[in-house]
Amino acid sequence: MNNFKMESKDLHLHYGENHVLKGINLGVRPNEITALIGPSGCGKSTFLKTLNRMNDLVDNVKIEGEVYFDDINVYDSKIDVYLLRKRVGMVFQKPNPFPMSIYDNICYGPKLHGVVKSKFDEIVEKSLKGAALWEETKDRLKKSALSLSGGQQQRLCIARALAINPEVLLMDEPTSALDPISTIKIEDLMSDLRKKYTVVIVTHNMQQAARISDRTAFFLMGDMVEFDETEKIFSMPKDKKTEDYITGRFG
Amino acid sequence: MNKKFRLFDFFIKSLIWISGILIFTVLISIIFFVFYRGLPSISWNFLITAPSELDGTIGILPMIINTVYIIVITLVISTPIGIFSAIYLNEYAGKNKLVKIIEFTTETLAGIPSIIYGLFGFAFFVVGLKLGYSILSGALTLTIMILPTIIRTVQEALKTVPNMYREGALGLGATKLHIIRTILVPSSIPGILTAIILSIGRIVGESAALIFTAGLGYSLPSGFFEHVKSTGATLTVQLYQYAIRGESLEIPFAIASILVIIVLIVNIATKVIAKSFNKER
Amino acid sequence: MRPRSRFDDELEDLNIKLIEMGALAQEAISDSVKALLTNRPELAKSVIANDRNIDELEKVIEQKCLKLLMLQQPVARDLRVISTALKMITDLERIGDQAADIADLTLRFNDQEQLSFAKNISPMADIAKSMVKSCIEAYIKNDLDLATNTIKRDDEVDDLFDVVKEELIQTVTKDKDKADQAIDLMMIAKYLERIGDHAVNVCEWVIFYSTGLHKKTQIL
Repeated sequence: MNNFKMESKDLHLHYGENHVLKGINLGVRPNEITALIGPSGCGKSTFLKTLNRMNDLVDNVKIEGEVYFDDINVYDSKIDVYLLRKRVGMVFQKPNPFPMSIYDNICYGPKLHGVVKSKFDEIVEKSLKGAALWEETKDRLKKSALSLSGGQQQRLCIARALAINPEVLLMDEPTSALDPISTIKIEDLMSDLRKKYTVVIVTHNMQQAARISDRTAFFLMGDMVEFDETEKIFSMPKDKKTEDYITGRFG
Repeated sequence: MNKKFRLFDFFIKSLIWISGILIFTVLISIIFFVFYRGLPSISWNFLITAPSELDGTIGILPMIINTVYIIVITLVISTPIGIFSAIYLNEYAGKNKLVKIIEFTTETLAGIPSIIYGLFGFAFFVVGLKLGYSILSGALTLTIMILPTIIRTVQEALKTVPNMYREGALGLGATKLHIIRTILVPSSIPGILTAIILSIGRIVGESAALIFTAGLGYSLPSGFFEHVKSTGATLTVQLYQYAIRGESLEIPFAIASILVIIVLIVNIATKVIAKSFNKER
Repeated sequence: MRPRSRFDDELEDLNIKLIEMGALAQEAISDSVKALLTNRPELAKSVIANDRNIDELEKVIEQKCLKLLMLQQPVARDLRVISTALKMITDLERIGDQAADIADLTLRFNDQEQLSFAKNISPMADIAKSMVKSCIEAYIKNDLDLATNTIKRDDEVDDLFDVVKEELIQTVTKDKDKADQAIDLMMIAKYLERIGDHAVNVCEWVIFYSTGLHKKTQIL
């Protein structure tokens, strides 16, 4: 056994003719924040989605190689995908609360996975506190989630993901649609989340990767060019392409 | 240049206003005219009796009942089929050629003159399935006629549900069916209601497709199932009959007034329901 | 337009200013040594006057570096370029100051005789001068070997400093009247020794620029 929470081994992904991921070997350590950076279309978001099989829905997708979650092969045909997605939760680029109350948003997952109703109140409070949203919403839990601000909506989505007790949290550019203050709130939240969860985040904002992550992987045209401790990537990257990217020489 | 542009702007704006006012005036005049000619002939007796030479009554009670029967039966059959088809087309079928053909066909069907449905209904339900001139034949024919509308409208409603809801729910481990049940259908309720109003409107206004299928009967029901199997004219069909006899226009206008009132009530009711649905969220 | 061209232009400008400052420091030490060894007060005066230019340039570069840090939030090599510049200018400024200090003392000399109290001042001055020249060159050419060798030469300066000190002690022991002049020479020797140290510092930042290592510790 290794000490990775999730690990991809020689992972290839094709969308029809396009070779989107070209043999990715990446190990995500538990209770760390792993950031994936790279220019648009480099495959970082696609890679993120392979970790909880969100790519299954896309037409013409072909995946080779392995992804391990603990010692389970995620792409094993016997795997219960829905259970996998319960354990590997996801937060998306645009805040996407469901058109229902704040309370019902949080309970959506627990309800789905058969948690008894009597526990809902407790779960709602715990999840909202976990996402640093409790104080702002405790008096209006029955109000529509769509009445929240963008930043609050995104924290609600994090709370919604936390409500089903995932082990890994995948975040696909979670702050790209938010203003700077909301962004900082979410970044603060993430360093708290690291204590209980393993976080993998795709971000376009290099400063964000530098600020919050423990390790950073640089993707370019379907290859993982470099993967190292974040401090090393941002001080002495080994690969010239990484250096060129983080210093803004291309991309 | 600037001045010219502003003049043009003014011209277009005036045109828009004039068109708006014109439409509004025409609509109000028609309703007013129909009520003016029709309302005086409406009496309590008119509403609660059947037409009878013996009693000397010309009431419309059977037609009101027939209309309700046809609306209810048609909707009971067509709404679930329509919603399920729309969900299938939008959520399951993907984007293959077959779906394109189905979508094209539904669109074409929606534009076919209703008399053709009537002809088909006559050949298939009345003669083919030996259902005879009956409310059931009429309802089945209308089902076919309004299905495309329901499917299209519900499909449009489903398309407006943002994809990110589906993604979000999938990310929580929901199955497709669960997402449809908990998110897609609830979000499409305004669309589904719109589909139902449109359908009611078409059913109430339909005559051509019903004359050959539901027939012209005007007896009062003696039991639900018997009545479904017996021939019965709706208000509109009856209006048509009176009108082509050309004896007097009093009764057609009276029926027309009632139809206008029904349509108004249905529209307002659905608006209220849709609003309360939106408030709940 | 290539990406980040404005930032690159700024960095190039920073580099040019840094080289300019290096050249001024080098000129200061070389002139003040010449003034010392050949007793040319007018040259010494110009060294003192020119020190203002070096101080001025330090301020300009400092400002520019801080501005770039604020506006560009540099990482990796860019960050090292700017931090190297920020650290180097302190040493270059000190070299300029000490060259001016030497020139100041030179003005108090009456004749060449005083120099003979410590014969090793002359080689010491030459080595210090060439170390400054080398450290600037190492920066311009980004030459790690030259930087390493220059650092090693500091030992020679330190050794000569001890020799000079010994020579001066003997001079004073023989003739107490020469104490005042001997102390001036001692201070000049100390300045030269310090200049050697500053040249070493510059070399260390040159090494840091390429490797991220400062005195063998990874600091970036």
